[in-house]
Amino acid sequence: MRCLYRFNKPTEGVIEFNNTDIWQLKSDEYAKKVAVVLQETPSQFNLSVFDVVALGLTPHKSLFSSITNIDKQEITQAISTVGLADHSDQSFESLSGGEKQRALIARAIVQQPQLLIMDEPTSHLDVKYQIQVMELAKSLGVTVFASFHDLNLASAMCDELVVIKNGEITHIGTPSEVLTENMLGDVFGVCAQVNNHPQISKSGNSIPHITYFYGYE
Amino acid sequence: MVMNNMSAVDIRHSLALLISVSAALFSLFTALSFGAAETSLQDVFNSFLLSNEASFNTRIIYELRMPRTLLAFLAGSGLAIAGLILQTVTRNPLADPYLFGISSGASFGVVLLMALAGISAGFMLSAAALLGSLLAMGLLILIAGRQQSAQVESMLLAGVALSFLFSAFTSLLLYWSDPQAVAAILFWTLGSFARAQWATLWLPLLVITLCTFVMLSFRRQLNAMLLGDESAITLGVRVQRFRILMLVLSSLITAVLVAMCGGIGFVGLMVPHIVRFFISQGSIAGLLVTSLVGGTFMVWVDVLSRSLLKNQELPVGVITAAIGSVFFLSLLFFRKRKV
Repeated sequence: MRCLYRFNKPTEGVIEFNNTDIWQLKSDEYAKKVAVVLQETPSQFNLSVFDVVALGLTPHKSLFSSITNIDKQEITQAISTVGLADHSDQSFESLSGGEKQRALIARAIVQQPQLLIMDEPTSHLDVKYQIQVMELAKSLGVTVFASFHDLNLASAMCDELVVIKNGEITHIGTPSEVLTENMLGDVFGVCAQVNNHPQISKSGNSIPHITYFYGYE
Repeated sequence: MVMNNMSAVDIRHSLALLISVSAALFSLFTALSFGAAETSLQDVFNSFLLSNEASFNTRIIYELRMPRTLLAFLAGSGLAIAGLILQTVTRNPLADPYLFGISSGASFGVVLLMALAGISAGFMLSAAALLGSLLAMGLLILIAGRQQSAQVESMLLAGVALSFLFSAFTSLLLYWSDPQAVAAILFWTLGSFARAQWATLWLPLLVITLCTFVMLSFRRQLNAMLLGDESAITLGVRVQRFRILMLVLSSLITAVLVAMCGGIGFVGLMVPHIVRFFISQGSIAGLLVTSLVGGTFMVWVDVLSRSLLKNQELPVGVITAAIGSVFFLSLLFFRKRKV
């Protein structure tokens, strides 16, 4: 994941985005195409929510340009899209975990990317916010690439799943292709039953739902 | 409704800016009337209007107090900006221009010159201080620049280690020096604006204005750093290079100021924290207010240093450190109560 957003350079192989090696691009060029929402974002200093969201402009702005009224409207718009309009003047640090994630999604909206990478966006969040954050990300109309620990959430939210074990891709395909009882046993080492979720996804496909069994001692 | 909310923030920022600009102007003006010689605000006015007609009081104001007050203002704002920048790029609320060994480097340069050449005043002293702090800065950048990961940690640790290293050399030299030199050095390290002259004022003015301008134009990158290196990278900031650049700029400010005024601690640490209580540091207003508040604060510290004791000047460093530590202790105290 860190290789994808250029924090680490891969020791071998090439990562391509739209057929160009991502390390051939200038750093701000890449940031215009790919936005990233990280898992935990430290901030001891009192940046307001507005300031954090405005950071999405960073790759688009030259050094001396200031924020125009259009930019301001875009930022305000993004903040209300994620439902934080009442908090825009508040300090980022005072937000709850889910609100922080939503503020970072607003930052990504302002960044206007073609791809949104989310590193475990739902860990540390309550169930309600897990669903809220993911549905918000899905509603943006850009490709979202996210990592999950919660397989049922992944199943309900994603069009395609990739399973990676020890650095190798072992399974790839739609949720119903990937989430099988065999795969869960082989890769995750758990015993489980896979049924269909009572709800059917918007595209009309059934959503596999996993029920885990306990008592491994 | 959202738009109203926005403009409320704008209004608060403009208000903060307005207040700090007027406070700065007011302080610069009134500070000129304080000092050993009895002068009135009327004299200050006259010194602006009729600088050719040399009454004794207006000459005191124009030739002694004005450069001194301006230097105090520049020093305060420069140190505050440098502190803010260092706190931002290291994400460490305790970072301050003196933490990185720059002032101990300067002291070392001064002591070396005094011990070897016996010079204890004048331009050479400032030059030695500048060279000493540039040496410390060079070493620090050499070490921090090589690190690819954990740059912040190595920068902080290297800074502290360097500062101890230079202090050790300084103490060693002092140990072998005669008591007169020791007193001169002590006075130098405590800081004073007494050496201010119109002829040398351009250097700090130039350095601080340039650095502040660069920092203002990089403010988005600075804010991006606050949310962590990884996050800054995803916004297209070249974190390692950017941090070194900012370190160079703030070290340059500090080096020039230490060379001219000696060691003045705590301003760089304290002022950004005070300003952060009131407005977000993310905006242009935040940066400007920090620099103005720093300057204003220092002007009044200088006034105190000139007028607290009759016929004697208190070292500036003593006053800033005293106010600074009381401030810091109360900050810690109130923080604890808030949790």
